[in-house]
Amino acid sequence: MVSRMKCKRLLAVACLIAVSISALPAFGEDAKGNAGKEEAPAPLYAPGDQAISIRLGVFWPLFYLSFTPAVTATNLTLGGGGALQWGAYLTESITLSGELGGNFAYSPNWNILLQLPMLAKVEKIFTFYPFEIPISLAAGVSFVKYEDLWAVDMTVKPGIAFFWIYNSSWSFGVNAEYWMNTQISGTADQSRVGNFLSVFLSALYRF
Amino acid sequence: MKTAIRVRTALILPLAALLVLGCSSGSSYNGSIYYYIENEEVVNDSSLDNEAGFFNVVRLGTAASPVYYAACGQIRKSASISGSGTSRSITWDTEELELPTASICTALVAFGGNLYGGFLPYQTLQSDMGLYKATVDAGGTLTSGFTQVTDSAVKGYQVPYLYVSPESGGDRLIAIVAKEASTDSTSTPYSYVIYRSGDGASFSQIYPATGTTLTACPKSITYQAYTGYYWILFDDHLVRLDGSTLSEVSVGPTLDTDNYEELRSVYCCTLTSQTLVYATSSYGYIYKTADYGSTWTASSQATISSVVVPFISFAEIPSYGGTTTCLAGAEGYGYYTVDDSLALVRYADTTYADLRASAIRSFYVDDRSSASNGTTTFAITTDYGLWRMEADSSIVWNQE
Repeated sequence: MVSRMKCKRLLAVACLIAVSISALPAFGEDAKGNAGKEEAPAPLYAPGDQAISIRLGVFWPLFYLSFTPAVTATNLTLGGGGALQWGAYLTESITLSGELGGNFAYSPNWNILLQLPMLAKVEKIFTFYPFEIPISLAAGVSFVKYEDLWAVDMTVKPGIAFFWIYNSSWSFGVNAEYWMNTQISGTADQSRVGNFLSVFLSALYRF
Repeated sequence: MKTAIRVRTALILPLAALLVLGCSSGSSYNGSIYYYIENEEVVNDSSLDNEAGFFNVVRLGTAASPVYYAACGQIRKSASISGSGTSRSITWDTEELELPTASICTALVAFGGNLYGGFLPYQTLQSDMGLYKATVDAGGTLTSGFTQVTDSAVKGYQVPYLYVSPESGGDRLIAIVAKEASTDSTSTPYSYVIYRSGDGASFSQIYPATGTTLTACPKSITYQAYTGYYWILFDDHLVRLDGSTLSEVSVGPTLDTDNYEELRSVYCCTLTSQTLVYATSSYGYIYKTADYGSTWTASSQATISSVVVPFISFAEIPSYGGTTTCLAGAEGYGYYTVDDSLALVRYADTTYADLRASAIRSFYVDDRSSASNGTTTFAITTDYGLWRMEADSSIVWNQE
């Protein structure tokens, strides 16, 4: 009788523990499949899942590359920027996203250079639970505004990020991207490829 | 099914955006923004107010040791000038000159070695309004305060425009005078008269005929030494006035009145030609005549992103060892260079500061007649202070 009661108590405790563990966001469903080290981890995402991320951080003008070719200084200050990204998983580890952003830096006379990129981005995500490292390549156009001048540049932007998976919905991390904005001028010797580096803090939400 | 739709949406939207926008990549100008920023130089900002609107700049003193006075409501004087060529810099007195009681200066010229200003009182009596004179020594320093010119032609009236014409018989002081307001509220509130003086003390009416007045204010006057003509500019036409006989002829280009085109400034060349006269318009055109106004040639219309550029001023800038450059000042768009064929090029200023977006009311060219003395050009803006350029093979502006 006593042993049956002990068994019931043990079962109840075991159930409570199981419920408690499953209720822990980071170690609930995301952890499934990790019990046996020999087994491959179950995929976290499925095709069709979507993700939104927001990023804010510093924007670092590196140099201009002319078609001569020659490297010249940007004459810009350290700036800032941010981006909104929305995309979907094509496979368990590859996403396709659209990105809208904005970044700025100042000239020697404190005139502001504004760049508003509109990009398509492919990401390959390497997961090392509870971390993941997306490597990305984005391409598209940037609207560049400076005083009364403006241009639409072609932009290519490879990048790498490092995320901590907080739970099945949220991840937080840092994102570094290398910008190459090609600005073709009417005069060939004035054409430039702007090279910039952005380092943004990122929050990512999956749904 | 829903998942498939979501994936398709995620794919299609960015790709469509890329297709539409990537294909239309380009720019509204013929240069690279990065290139300009790469070459941007820090503006050497002197001590004058960068937000002030200026009316005139004049030079007194000698060619070797000039002294500048700038009118911006108050009058500021240069304290010292150092360096030469493009390294030349001007330090301005931090204190403004003492003006007639409670008044602002809206016009300033150097005439007969002295300083003449049109002053507008804002607290005192209307009788205090008018033309004032301050005597200046050979070194360019004021030796007296401003005293009112007592000729009844100018005393008690607003003098919005002053000009010194280099007539063959000697310089003449030209003043546009706004007469008293009409008591009839339906009439034009002011009438205008143009006076001339050889001594700065007594004035005689040169336009319109004595006993009559103008209902429209002349916008600018310039004198053509080669012909002896005064060119008087109104919104819709020019008057060519013979400086000797005072006979007049109405001339001017055909304006696009449907688009409210108006003339804004007139300039007689002396360096590139003795007969050329330029007129600028509010509708993006520069007009040129070489036959005393009989026929006019128009430039192509200047636009920026389909917005018409109004031209409000014009000047020839001599460059010793180089070529004379003509500049057309624009309202809100800095200035353009103008060549013999009237080709307009918005100047790619490397400072990219406020000058490029300012309204240049006029230019003051201090041609000191030798390469060693140099030439200094001031761009007088209505909104972004005073800018200075030392003539050289390149055009670089400094904000005073």
